[in-house]
Amino acid sequence: MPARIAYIWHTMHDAIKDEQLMLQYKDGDSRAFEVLYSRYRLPMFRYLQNQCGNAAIAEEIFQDVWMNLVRARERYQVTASFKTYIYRLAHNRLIDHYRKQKHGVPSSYDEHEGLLNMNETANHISPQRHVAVEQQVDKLLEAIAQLPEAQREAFLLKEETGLSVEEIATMTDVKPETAKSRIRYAMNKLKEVVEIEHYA
Amino acid sequence: MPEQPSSDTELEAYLAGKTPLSKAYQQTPEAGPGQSIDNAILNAAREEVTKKHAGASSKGYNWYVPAALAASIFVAVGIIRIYSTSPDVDTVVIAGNTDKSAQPDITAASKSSPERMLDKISKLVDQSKTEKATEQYEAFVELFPNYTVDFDKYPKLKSIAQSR
Repeated sequence: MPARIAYIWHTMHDAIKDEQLMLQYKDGDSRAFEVLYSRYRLPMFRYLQNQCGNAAIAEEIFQDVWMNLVRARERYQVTASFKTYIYRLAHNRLIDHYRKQKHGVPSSYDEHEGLLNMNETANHISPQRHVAVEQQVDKLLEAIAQLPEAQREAFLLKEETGLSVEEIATMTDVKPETAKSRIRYAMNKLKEVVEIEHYA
Repeated sequence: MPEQPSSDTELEAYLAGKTPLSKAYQQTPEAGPGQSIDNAILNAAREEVTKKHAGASSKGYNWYVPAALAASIFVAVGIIRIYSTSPDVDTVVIAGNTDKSAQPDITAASKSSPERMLDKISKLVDQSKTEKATEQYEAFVELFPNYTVDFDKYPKLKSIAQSR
């Protein structure tokens, strides 16, 4: 497709809701999928990369999520917002990833234990990353990476999707209070970094 | 030591995106997936659509080919049965008449070959049913106007033909 036509086409589709685009893709319009992909490509990848702390794993999960969406095309029905739908696919794939790991799904995902062990931090930051931390954003990313997985995911979902606490709770299969507690915990941890930098 | 829980007001402000934390996070790099991942996903999305459409055509093909084959066999068997078991002109039942000795039915006879019809007319001549034979011969000519009767084969019909 020539660049100008593609631009016009995408501009026209900017006004179309995600759910409508997905229905159009379901009906065989692959260009509708391209628009959807362009909308979610960056925020979803950043969510996965910051959650996993590893670009290669993030790419694998990212690709699986979109492939699953492609394969589920014919079964798609508008039962929730597309954003909730696609991020739920991502969350489920992420949990599958954790499940295959040696230690299984992190305890922070447990609604009870996770809240009790909020002071524990994940410890999988590479030495190279420590050396590279020089700027605020790096320190912030570093602090994000040190959050327990469930709290980190709640924070990233809030930042990347703009979904409400209730929607994040539904998407991650926890009670709203749990989702709220996770976000509050993440906020308290991360604001320290931002405030220190801000007032330094 | 656990940190002090933030106030609900502070949390609400954060959820509303009104704290430095959200602004700081939005400044983090927007690294996307590699080009190869983009291509793989977009190609798969296009292929899925193409495949399904081709699949739909293929499914249609798979559906109508056996159906057409079955219909063809049905018609072929029907035609074979008509020609192989076509009622004998002598035993054809005239509508409303169940008497097997009834006269030949020209409609049924027309379903058989001209030769068979000529044979039957010849039999009528043998049975001295000249009037009926003539009548049937007239019908034969109407049914097969372009057929050239071989009077060497059907000599008994020559007189009927000449009398027309």
